[in-house]
Amino acid sequence: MADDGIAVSGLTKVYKNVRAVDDLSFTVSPGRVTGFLGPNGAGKTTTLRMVLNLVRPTAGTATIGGRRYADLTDPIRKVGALLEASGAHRGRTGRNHLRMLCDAAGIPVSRADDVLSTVGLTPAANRKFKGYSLGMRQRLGIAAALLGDPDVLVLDEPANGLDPEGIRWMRDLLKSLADEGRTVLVSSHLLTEMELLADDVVIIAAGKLVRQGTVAEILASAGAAQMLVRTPRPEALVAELGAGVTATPAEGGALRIVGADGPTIGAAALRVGAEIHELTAERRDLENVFLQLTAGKADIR
Amino acid sequence: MTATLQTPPATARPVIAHVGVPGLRLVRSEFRKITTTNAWWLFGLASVFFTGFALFINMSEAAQHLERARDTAAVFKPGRGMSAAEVAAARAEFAQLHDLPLQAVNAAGNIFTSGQFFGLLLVMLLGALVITNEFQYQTATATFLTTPRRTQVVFGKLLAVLGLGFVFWLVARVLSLTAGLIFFDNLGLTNSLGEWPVQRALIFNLVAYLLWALLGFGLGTLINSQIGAVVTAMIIYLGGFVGAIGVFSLIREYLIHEDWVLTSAVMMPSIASQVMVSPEKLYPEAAAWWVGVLVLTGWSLVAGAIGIVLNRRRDIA
Repeated sequence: MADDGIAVSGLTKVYKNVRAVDDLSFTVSPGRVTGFLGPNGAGKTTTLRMVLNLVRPTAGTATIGGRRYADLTDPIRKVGALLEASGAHRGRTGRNHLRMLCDAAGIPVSRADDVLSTVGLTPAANRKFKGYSLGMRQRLGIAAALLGDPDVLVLDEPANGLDPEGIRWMRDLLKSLADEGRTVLVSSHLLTEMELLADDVVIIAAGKLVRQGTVAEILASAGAAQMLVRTPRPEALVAELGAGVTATPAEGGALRIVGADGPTIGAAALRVGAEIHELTAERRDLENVFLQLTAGKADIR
Repeated sequence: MTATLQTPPATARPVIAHVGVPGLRLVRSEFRKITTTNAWWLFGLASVFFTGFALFINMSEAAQHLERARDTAAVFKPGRGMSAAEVAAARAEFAQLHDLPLQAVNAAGNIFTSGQFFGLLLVMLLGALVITNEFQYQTATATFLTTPRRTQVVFGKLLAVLGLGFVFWLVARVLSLTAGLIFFDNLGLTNSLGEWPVQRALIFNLVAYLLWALLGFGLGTLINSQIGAVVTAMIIYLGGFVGAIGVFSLIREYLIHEDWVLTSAVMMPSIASQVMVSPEKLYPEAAAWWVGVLVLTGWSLVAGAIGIVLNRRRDIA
């Protein structure tokens, strides 16, 4: 494992009657944005909290650059984290919230103003936290994560509450941080956003690892491309395509065909004289693949 | 990746200095936490108000007592039908009430420690808030991310709480000393500050502020729920004295007919505190002052230690 990578090995967390995280192992590389995906209740937040020593694992280990979080000498100079349900005192200003963190970490308080300007919160610096919108609270959390200029960033649902412009800003920020060689692990269930943002993905469901790899690998792993065909004579077309091609009924009387590409289907239709009303290649996106991989595992536990 | 077109050019990573004394960083952070919310001035205002109120009551009372003691024309008159022993007791009491130096010392002790009753309650609640606020406002995550060694966090808070107890004591004492000195000067009496009983009252007043702050902190460490810790603290402080004396008297009356039962009432924090600050025995069977100190310290340590062990294992979610 490289210097600033995250390594999770055999991580398990058992609550009273739920295995929230179940023998989970994966690695996160520096210089890349890694998306951490899973349905609600899959154990993403619990995993991230175990990586950060906030939740005590039942078994297994999580290390950052080879060391447990609790053993880091200056943790917030090494790792910046944004977690759900991490608040600030309602009556404290954003600037003072950051300054008290600076005090505790031995960082000059001037850093608070630096990161406030990085996240675009300078105009609200002296406003109390209770007056912040959800998006501003999220930005304050990101500011806190950046205080120590860390090599590793761990972000739980950072896009929560951000408007489209904020989401775009966040995407550019995380990509530029990864381009500087930092490790970025970001959990989300916004799959279209992840497809734009992430280089690698780790998919979990029901506390277990489902798949890890680059986005391209994950998309390719979902099998051959599918074609959607609409024709008045489906039986004739399927018969002409022959064995080795599977056809299943799709919505609106269409057929979903796996094992044949567009030209093959078009040629077969011409041979049997079947009219084609629609012929579309179904786009393979992360959302489809994710739903396919986690199907049936997303129950509320 | 097309995003490189939008990404600003990579800037040099900032050089972030290491500042602060390692052991005191957390204390400093805790002080900033307290001074950046409304808590400090609300509690400070309450403390000033109650000190002023107590000063008014104590000075009115002292003025009456001192006037009576200065009345040289008063003569002891035994009541009718009193036995010889009753006459002697009444004479001794009369002598005390008209002993001006004694009355002046008592008045000084009361006036210079004015506001102790509510002051102690306030520092105890503040001590509890310092730790329960972290869970109430979900700042525990940020705090423990910055300092994953949780016991260090608790000790940083502990020092900050003792500092707070000292500051609250100092403010109340500056007020009461100023008012008291003017009071005695107006009456043309000594302020008795050179007398040991008065000095003792001031010193133990400080010890009480520190120990109650510590006890509140121990409670907050043990009971992380803010409302739970505050209610428990109030019950221990307000209900403790009357309740404890009542319960221990009943045990003495009906169960164990021994005087040590009454002495052992000192195990209740509120009684321990009274036993500690009283120059004379609080009641005939009361334990010595230092037992009070030990009991208060002991409760704080027990609550704090259990709290630390629980906190080390606790999941912050």
